[in-house]
Amino acid sequence: MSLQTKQRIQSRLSTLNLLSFLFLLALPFIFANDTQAANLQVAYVRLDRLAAATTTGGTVCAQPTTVGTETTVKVTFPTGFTVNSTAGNWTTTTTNLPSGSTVWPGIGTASLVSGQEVTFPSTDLTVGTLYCFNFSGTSTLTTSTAGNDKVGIITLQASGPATIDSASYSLSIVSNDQIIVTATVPPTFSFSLSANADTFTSNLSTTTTSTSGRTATVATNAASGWVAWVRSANAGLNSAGTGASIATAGSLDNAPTDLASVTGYVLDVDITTDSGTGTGTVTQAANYGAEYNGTNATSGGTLSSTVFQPIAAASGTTDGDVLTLTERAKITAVQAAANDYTDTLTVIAAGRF
Amino acid sequence: MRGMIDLQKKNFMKTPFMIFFLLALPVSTNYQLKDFGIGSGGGSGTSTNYGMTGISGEQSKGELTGSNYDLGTGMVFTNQANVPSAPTFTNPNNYYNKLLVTLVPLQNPSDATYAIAISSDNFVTTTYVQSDDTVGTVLGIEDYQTYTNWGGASGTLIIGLLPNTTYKVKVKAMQGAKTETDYGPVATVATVGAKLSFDIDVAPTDVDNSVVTTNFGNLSPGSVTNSPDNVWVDFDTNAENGGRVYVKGTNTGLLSTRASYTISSVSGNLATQQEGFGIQGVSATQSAGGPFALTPSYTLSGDNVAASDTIIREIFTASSPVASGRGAFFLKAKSSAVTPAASDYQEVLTVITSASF
Repeated sequence: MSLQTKQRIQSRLSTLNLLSFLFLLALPFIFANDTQAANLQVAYVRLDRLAAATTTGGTVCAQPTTVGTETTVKVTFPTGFTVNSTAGNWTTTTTNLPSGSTVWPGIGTASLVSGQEVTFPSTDLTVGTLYCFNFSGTSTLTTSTAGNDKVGIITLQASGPATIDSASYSLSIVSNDQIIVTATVPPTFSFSLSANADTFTSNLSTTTTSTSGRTATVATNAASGWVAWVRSANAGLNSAGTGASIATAGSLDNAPTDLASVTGYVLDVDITTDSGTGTGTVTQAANYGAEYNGTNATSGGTLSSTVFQPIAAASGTTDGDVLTLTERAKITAVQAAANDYTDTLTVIAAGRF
Repeated sequence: MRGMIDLQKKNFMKTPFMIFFLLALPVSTNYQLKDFGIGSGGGSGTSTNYGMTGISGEQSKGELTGSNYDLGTGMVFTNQANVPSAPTFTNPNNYYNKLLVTLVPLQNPSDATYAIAISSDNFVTTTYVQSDDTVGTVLGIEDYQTYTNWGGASGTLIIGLLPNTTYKVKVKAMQGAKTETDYGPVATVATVGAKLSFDIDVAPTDVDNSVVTTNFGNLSPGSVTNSPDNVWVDFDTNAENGGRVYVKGTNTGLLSTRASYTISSVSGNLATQQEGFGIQGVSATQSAGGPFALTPSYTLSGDNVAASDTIIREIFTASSPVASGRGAFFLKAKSSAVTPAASDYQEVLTVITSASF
């Protein structure tokens, strides 16, 4: 080989070696830009229900590790879960997300369901931010049999799709995830009269005279309230000494009788206190005390000696409704004189539990 | 011929030609030379910029390998660092995404650096532990670290691994130019799967059972009544970021269908309220990891309670893996004089969990 040929070969080798050397220098920079799919920094699926064989929705959360342009997120549910294949059922929301999370941008109804995999749309995510979204529990997912370590995968995807980041997650399915708490509120009821004697404030006359009145107080936790009744022993004021009687006036017709125009004996019941505590309201509706709802100083209801007549009722609970019972009488000029006219009223009440 | 000569040649890279010779292995009827080279060969040249030290006449790189031992021959091996032994490669805490590797420096000086190769397919594909402890496809010069920087005797956790995967690692050493060794022996260990165990028990004391009901009995008006049972939860996970246990109500209180009334869920002191219903945390423990703890909202005492409404609320939390976590909470209720009487007051609490992997 001539010296010239050797020099030409050496020159070419020199160029080749230089190129090789430059290539070697550039290698780290070439591969430095090489990205590799990584584990998500955080990944979890929180189901709304963990009971076996139960339909449920849930929440999906992920925190990206790798810079990429996400277009979809694929959630692979564990083997044994029943995944509804209708993508349109897999609607999403972004309310009530876990604390510290951010609404998943671009999330929407699933675009694809394939086997255990459900793919939702997404837009680009920022590395280091925890994103979450909820998926509907209506006709989407049914849990598997009970057991621990039910493993699935969350995968962030770029177009293609190409995996950007992914991570396994694990679920625990239990036989029952609900605690049934029960309690009883026992019934309570109290009733009292302010006194047992109620005397007319003056001698009976041809004008209406009334007693000073006695109160009846009712407290109860009966959900439907209470009813109070009255029954007269005599349906009038009787004088044992003379055998005379002042009969009750009017009739039982859900309307009080006004002694201004008639004589006789009646009972007026007023609602003195309708307690603001509790759920009930006291009324004197038809067949529940309207008869005794006198609206002036001469009116009252007809008394019965045979049947307890409702005098008032309440619709709910109370810590103390108060009724005032006032007897009224008006006699004729020929009413036999006596100082022992009397009647006995039996007042009762009951809770409507 | 043995001897060391100092070559000063401008065109020192004659490797392409060397490869040609290396491929032409000599043969013998009795012995086989597995590999050989002519080292730095002959020739001469001068340069003011480059120099090269070569050994003439010995194998350029010994490849005398056996089942148990390799033989490194010649000055090349004398200059090389000691080949590291198989590292200690373990999964000490049921890791699903990381493994602990501890190098065995084998009397290399403290400034020797090491590179760790890792593979999940028996080195059909090789990746490398990066200086940030992740796994990458490229072995950069920065990924050669000293024994100390690889964690010394405590080792270093290789992160970003796949669950349920067997990994193999091997280590090579270097201490200055032209001293890099081959990889040493391989060590093998596997990650486990992502794990989450959860269970619910209802009992006055800490026992495992399958009971899911508790009955207050009578709620005396004006008195705060405790549920006779605690709700106990088991929580165990190897999730890197721990996990949470949540509770959610159904009726936002104790609902009586018959009375059409709800003793509402409240947050606050029941002693000063007319009526109400709520949750109070009792305890949270673990055998390792965690800690598994009550959230502040439920860390309460006296007659203070936290609401249990229809929002999923965190009651127990852990920010790292938890072993044998055990938590308990109970319920308090109070009725008033006007709380409608009924024997069907009920709330259904849903207790769920998730682990953050």
